[in-house]
Amino acid sequence: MRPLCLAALACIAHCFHLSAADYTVAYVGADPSPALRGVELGIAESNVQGQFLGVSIHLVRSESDAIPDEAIAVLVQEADAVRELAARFPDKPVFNLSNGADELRSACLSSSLHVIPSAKMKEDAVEQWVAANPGSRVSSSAWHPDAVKFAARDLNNRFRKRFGEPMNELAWAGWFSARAVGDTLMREGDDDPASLLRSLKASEELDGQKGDPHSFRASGQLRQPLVLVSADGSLAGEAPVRGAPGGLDSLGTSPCE
Amino acid sequence: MSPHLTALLFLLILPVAQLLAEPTYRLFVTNEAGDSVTVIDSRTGEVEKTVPVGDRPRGIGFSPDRQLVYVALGGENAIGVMNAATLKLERKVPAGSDPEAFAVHPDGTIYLSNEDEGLATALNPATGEILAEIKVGLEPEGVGVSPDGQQVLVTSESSNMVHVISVAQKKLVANILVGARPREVAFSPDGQHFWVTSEVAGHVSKVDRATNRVVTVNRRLRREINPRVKPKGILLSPDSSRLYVSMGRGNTVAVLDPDTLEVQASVPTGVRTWGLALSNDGSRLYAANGPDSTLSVVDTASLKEIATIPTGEMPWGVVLDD
Repeated sequence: MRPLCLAALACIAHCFHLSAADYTVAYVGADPSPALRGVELGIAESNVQGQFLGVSIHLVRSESDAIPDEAIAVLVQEADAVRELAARFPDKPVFNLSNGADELRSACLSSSLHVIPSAKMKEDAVEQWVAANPGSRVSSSAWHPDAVKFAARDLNNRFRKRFGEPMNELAWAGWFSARAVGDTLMREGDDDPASLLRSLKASEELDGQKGDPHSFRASGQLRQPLVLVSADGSLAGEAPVRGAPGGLDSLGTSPCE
Repeated sequence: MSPHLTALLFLLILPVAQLLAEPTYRLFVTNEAGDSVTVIDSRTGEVEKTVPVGDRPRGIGFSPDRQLVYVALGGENAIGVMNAATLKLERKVPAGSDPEAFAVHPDGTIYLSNEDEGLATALNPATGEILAEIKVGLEPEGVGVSPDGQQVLVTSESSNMVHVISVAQKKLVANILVGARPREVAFSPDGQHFWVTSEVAGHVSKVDRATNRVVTVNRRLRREINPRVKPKGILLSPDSSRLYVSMGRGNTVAVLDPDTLEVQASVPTGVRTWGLALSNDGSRLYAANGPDSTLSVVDTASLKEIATIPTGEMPWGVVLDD
């Protein structure tokens, strides 16, 4: 590294006399897991942003019955724990990273933020794609490690560089959740979990590096584009297919809406 | 432009202006997927030449004397240097990892963004010396030099910020959070404001430079133009009466009031319109349409697309030597 670069790095740490704010985010679930790796990348990238603003976030791995009080958000990889944690923390963001059950969406839980797509969203994506491309055999996913458009290439490269493996949809869900928490905290500068939850639900411009802005539906489901994956695992395309009526809401809305 | 600023700019530019040859009236378009620069005679609309330049050309700009065209070659970690008169690619200057976009300071220094390293680099293109590397946010992109030459702005797309760099100190002096995925900036001639496009948020914001605060935002572009708009390129008209903003997949160039950011008009162009250039007299606007592989020519009096010119594959940026 060149001396000037080192000087610039040192400056970032010392030149800005900002009041430091540190936030705690809890992770509940398997370790290791792709979701946790995604969370770690998202926290690191939030801290890249935060270093310029005097804000930092640290991650605590926790059992579901031992979430630290200071946690401003809970990121849940353990599928069976989502409903119980959302019930226990009605005013704290509880991110669902892995559970696609439609019942969780139609339960209209006040604090759950379902970043992973619901089963219905995935079915609708496949249905749209097959209608437009008859005879295709595809499945759908929140993410594909070979996606390049909309700066997906950059995110895939950062994940691969850090962990030496391709980014899958669980990793993307973990990354997105940690970035959504980070970016919203930087903007709101408020340490109250309830106001963080309100801000997350109100945002219409969350960036998932998939082109269209993402936002949360009333059910807590993340409104997002999906990718279609061919039977051989290669990237086939995106949903909603171009011109689908309703845009992102052509994919799997639930009774809450 | 205020008279004293015009005078100041004139003084800055005078030494090189004396060396200026007649303009070539050429448009230069980078073709990101075509690995080339399309050279077009802007007076006839004819493609003069397609010059292979290297892997993944995106950002493009002139040297202060306009005798050289610089091209950011992301896939080659270099700035390509083309002679604007002979159209020969003279050399490639190492520019750090994955250079994407840049701006050329009146003193000749190139300030560029290194997308995959999260750096802004100050490069002397004549000697190849890297004068500074400044750590910025993730996926830095748009770069702009303030009219007085004292500051450089760099957007970081994945950190949602505009970073303000002091040219004298070569370090960050401010960081401004803006809407998601900021892409490009444009300055007011008096240097008091800049505007920034936010692609994913779908915003255009106006920022006061004295306070580094956003003073006006238009968040309604998707409702007022079409749901697919993704603001990218941004230019102020020479008389400062209009902001032209390319809308990406919205397939238009919008005309905004620079003060209120209200939409005055929306001009249909091609598919995924990004790079913009204006003629000096403000009468012609040029817009690069990526997947269409075309350049739109817009008459700014009638606000109509009057021609499309074929380019190489996936045109990204465009500049005009007039």
